[in-house]
Amino acid sequence: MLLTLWDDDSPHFELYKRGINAFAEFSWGGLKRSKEEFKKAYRHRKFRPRFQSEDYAFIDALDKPVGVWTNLLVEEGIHRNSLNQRENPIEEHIIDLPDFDNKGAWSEKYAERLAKLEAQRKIVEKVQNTLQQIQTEGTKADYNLKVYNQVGNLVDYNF
Amino acid sequence: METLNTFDIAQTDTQEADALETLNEMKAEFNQVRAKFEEVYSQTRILNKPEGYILDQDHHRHPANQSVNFDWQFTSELMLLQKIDNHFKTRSVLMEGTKTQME
Repeated sequence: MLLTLWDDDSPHFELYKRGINAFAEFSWGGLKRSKEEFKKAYRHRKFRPRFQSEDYAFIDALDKPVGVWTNLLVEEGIHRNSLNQRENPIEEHIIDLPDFDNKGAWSEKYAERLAKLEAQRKIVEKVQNTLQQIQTEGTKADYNLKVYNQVGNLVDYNF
Repeated sequence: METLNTFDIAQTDTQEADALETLNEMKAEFNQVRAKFEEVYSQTRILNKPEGYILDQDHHRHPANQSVNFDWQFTSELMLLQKIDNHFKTRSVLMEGTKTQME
């Protein structure tokens, strides 16, 4: 079996680790375990047996907030990865800023985005608490958690 | 986003001034977030490409090949901060001595 990893966004390699383990599990072990069982086993082996429960499922929890973060600061229909290849990206493709003379218009324009962000902010906060708890109690995968921590911090800054 | 929203919905001069002050601090806060991010990532990743490195010349949009340093990870953050700087600085010059200023 050969596994190749492709991703245009170049995330840190630590963020691929669970996927690599899943590949090994399902290619060598067949479908003996469900996805949820695999994730539980991964938490058990990667972090420590005491962190196997759903309460520590911070990797899945980060999916949506990171999804919102990706294009949070750019206009609808634009991907952040394309900014450097566009003309006048700051003026035309980065979100507008509040107008001193038309207060309230900005919040109205971005209301949907702000609402989405509000829901995700709580999830990021919970993820950060979970990471801190695991780190405080101790795990052999400390560096892996530090990388997830930084992802959470960057998302939180944008929110 | 939250700070921009706070500024936009500010009802009084004091609320507006507070929001502007927070906006003014966003660049410094970003620099702190980025420094920590780089400290962790750089333990296992080379963040700066060697001198003379030629970035992608084709149409692909792989961000990691869009800058020789680690700017590519923060493209939209850096652009927004630049926009905020231009937007509020211009306004503060226009309104100098008449209203809350950014600097």
